[in-house]
Order: sequence, then structure tokens, then C-alpha cells
Amino acid sequence: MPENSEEKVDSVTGLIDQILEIITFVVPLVKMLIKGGENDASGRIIRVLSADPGLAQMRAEWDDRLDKKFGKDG
Amino acid sequence: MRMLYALFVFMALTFAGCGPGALELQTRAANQVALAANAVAPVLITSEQVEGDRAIDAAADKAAARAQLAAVEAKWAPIWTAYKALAVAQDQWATALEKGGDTAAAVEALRASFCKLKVLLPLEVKLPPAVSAVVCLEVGHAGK
Repeated sequence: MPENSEEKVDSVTGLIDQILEIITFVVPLVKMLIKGGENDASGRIIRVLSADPGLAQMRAEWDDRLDKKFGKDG
Repeated sequence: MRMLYALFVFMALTFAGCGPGALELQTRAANQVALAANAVAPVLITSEQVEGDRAIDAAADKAAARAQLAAVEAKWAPIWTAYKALAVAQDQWATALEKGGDTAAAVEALRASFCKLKVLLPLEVKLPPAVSAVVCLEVGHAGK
């Protein structure tokens, strides 16, 4: 029966999709949790660093760019 | 499907109990969140800087350039606010893990802050999928 065949193909395709999903998504996740995530050298959990120093440098570089294009008094 | 996996992983991380295994898993996840955020921040800064550089290049005079830069900074301000909230939440989670506190509440606070940031991020910024899955269950709800 064509319809049954189509359903079988759909279910196989769905199964393949699910397997691919597991391979591409869950496996790296588990791998990450097993292998990665070591504490820092002092044994502390790593913290999210402040972005402020990078943003301050960005603004300083904008100022330099402005001065180069328009002059310091521009 | 992906949401189910994310839910599963999140549940495993958060509610698997208070045994050493569960805490170890959360510690690893907390480290990974920090590593991912610390890797993404320079990418975000570069993206903002490029926008500012373009604004300067396109401006006719310094005043116009400064006005454009202010607009760029205003556009990015919510992202940096969300990033700071994420940093605070991750610090609270890490502290709870190190000193013994309410890790479930800390994880939820982190998830909420991460999801806010994720929605705001420019499309070109790609987060490590595993990390976003651990933290953000409401990917579909968040619209990204």
C-alpha cells in the first residue's frame, strides 16, 4: 500500500532525524559536562568576566578614530 | 525535540539531588557557562565596535559622528545590562555551589538572565548550543 509505505518512510525519516538530533545536540552536551568545565587554577569555579574593560577600550579606540578623521578640535 | 532534551538536561542538572555527583555536574556546567560568556563578550564588543567604526566613517563631522556613536551605544546598552545580570547570576550560582546555598534558585536566576540576553543578541552572534540548552529552556518562547 502506497500510503503505508509513505508512513513507514516518514517514521524512518523521523527516527533518523531524532538520532541525528541526539548526535548533534545531546552528545556534545554530555561530552561538555563530562570532559569540560574544570575549575580555575585556584580551584574556584570560573566566573563571568566584566565586559567593562573591553568596552572602555572600544570607546578609546573610537575617540582615536574620531581624532584621526576630524582632528582633535573637529 | 530539542526542547525536550534541553528540559531533560536542565531537570537532571537542577533536580538530580544534592549528592556529590549532581553538584559536580552543576559545577562543570557553571564553569562552562562562564567560559562561554567570556568567549562571547569579545565577539559582542567587536560587533559593537564595528558598528561604531562604520558610524564614524559615514559621518560628515565630529558632532554627527558622536551622535551616531551615542545611538550605537544606546542600541547595545540593553545587551550589556543583560550580560551584567548574567554575570551576577552566574556568580551567585557558583557561590552557592562553593559555599552551599540554594543552587536551584541560583540556576533559575541564571536561566532567566541568560534567556533575556539571548533574545537581545544580534543574529550573527552564535552561542555554543550545548550551553544555551543547559540554561535556556524557553528557546521557542524566547523567539531564538
